[in-house]
Amino acid sequence: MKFYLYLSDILYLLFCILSIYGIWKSSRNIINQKIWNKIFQQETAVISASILIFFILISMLDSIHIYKGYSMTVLDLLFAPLNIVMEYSYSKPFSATSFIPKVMHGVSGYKQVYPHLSYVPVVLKNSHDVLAFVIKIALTLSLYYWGACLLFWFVFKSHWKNLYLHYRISMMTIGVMIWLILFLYLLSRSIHVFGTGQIGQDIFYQAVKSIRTGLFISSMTTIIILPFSLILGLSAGYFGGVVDDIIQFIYTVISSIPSVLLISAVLLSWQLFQETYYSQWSMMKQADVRLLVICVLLGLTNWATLCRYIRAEVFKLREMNYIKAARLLGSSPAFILRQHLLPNVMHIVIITVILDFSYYILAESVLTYVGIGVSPSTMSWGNMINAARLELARSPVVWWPLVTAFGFMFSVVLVCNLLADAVRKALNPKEEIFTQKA
Amino acid sequence: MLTPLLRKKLLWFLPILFVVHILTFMLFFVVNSPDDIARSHLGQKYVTSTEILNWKKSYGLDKPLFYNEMGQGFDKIRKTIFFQQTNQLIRGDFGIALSGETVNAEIKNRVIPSLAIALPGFIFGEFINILVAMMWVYFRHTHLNQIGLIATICLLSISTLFYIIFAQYYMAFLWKWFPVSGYETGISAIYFVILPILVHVFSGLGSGARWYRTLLMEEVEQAYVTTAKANGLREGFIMVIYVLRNALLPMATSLIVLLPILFLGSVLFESFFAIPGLGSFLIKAINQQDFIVVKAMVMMGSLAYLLGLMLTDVMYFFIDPRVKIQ
Repeated sequence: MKFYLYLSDILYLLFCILSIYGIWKSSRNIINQKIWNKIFQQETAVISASILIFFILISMLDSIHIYKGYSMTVLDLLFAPLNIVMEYSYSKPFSATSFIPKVMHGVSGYKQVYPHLSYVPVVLKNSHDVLAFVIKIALTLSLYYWGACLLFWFVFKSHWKNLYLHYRISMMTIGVMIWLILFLYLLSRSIHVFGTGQIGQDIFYQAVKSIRTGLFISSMTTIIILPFSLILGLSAGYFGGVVDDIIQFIYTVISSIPSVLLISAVLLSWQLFQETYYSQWSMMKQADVRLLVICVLLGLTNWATLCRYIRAEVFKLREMNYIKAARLLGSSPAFILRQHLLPNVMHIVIITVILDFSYYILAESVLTYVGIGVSPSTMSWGNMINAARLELARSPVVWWPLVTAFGFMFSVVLVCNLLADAVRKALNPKEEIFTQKA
Repeated sequence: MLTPLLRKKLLWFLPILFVVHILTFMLFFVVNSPDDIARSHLGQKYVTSTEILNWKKSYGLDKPLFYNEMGQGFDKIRKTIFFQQTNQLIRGDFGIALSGETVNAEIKNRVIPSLAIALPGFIFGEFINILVAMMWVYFRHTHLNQIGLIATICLLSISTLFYIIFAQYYMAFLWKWFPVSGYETGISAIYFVILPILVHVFSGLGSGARWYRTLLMEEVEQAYVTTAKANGLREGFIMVIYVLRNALLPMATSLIVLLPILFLGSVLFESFFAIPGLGSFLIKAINQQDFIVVKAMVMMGSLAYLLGLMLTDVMYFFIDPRVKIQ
């Protein structure tokens, strides 16, 4: 067994660790503490942040690769053998038999049978058995769970009352999430929780694997946007004149090209380039690099908005007395930009970045549908939807792949949006216009 | 008054268009040489050099990129791909698509179906967004405010693909209110166009209503609203006559930015509902790796955006009297 990381894994893990460190570091500062308090005084913020932690943990587990005969991640190891099990074809959620009949040769000639799923234990003969099994798991889990909760309660009884309300809300949310995740995980050990897809792949496993793709695209795009829009926006606003004209020209050019077109043009070109010069790359590496290229492209098409907001804000700040004083005292422009202007535009940056965060997750699915998204071998909600969109037209209808993909995507995006809204309320109570019309 | 403004804008736009042209040219012909393109279209393996040469000749790509050493005098620059493409572009000719038809003819055929869903979708959509936002701001002191906030966050979190797929499934496939997909020329197009427009309107509601609410809230907190209220004017009257009118300026700006999307049609809607517009043209080109079409679409898109920016200025000219004085 050998651990190793792809380029995107390294970047993603670095991002996660750095942002955790940054949050911890910034909470040492009294002024920042006030802001954090303001954000987490809202119940929605506490709840959504607690849920988001789990999604991030899952995505981090999915970013550490292991070589064990073939390439897999830690998450695959937890889910094994779901990553290689293939059923005959479609099967409904919580079912023991296949959804599609198979013609079998029996004693009395040919007949149609619904074959038993190979992953589901033979003891569970039909859906009644499965239902009983599910209830059994739920009850046993709840029993142990309440035991653990009581133990926790007895140990921390004296502390619990002294805790802030919002710590308590957070812990309760985390408790519920742990129950839910354990429940789904335990079920997935013996049945296909959300059924199987056309070639018999487990839908639940795919949807969980897609969390990493979605969060990766959002966070990397954000990382790529930040330096561009910060440096260009700050200097355009502060220096004005020719610098401003040049930077304005650059972002007018970029934003004049509709983003779908720019992404498709560059991606087409990249594809050909890679086929010509790096055709020896393995499938995994191709998919990995393609994911990064998409992040760069999403960043390239979206940095102009933030840049424009920062520029406008710096235009206002430039005439403030403290900036003038700093200039008269002989501070260098770089010092003024970093020490005086950057902290004062930070709220705009945070609001815009966090509001756009969920937008990229949605954008991924749309781009993948159009044919300029992640590679088909990367598991993502876009690919799941793309593969399943014609299944609604089947009769009898196959709804579970689509509903699962949309459900997972909706929950992640909703959590991000709720957190974003809370942050916006805390940092920008007057609702000034920094939000973009999507 | 209006003409000098437009003339100045035009002078600003020409270099932008030129830079876009250079960028796309670099992307398609410098990063990948015409040989690579030819090879990828003829199939990666077993391609003879004469085949590549013939392919390049038939698409006019058999010349050097920027500088022709073989030519005499001005021909050194004129007999190059870059000059040829630039020249074509100035004449408004986008070249020939892989399907054999000229891109211009394709665009001409496809603009109307594109506009048939994009324009009504845009107008109805924005109208309903503004209406919802006004209601929302009007009831801002009631529980509807909170409900609206939560509802729009939920709407925002749902992918457009979800609306399209499920509307198509229920309204067209199961209930048979509309045809599932397709398009017809003439007046019967209405029948095919209603469902995409409905989905378009609904899928934009979350972000649209929130956006217009922000704009309207900015105005509602102004002193003139308090004055009007103190003078005994009804709230609804103030909303429509004063607040809406003042919020029109930022609204116009945000509307115009959406114009290129309108021009390109909505790529998603066109491909799901099989409408033969510019969006589906683009998807087809992407799937066939047709560089010439994608390049043409990039130019058209950026032209539309710049025209939109210009329209903003014209609109400002009529909405905001202060512009005339400057």
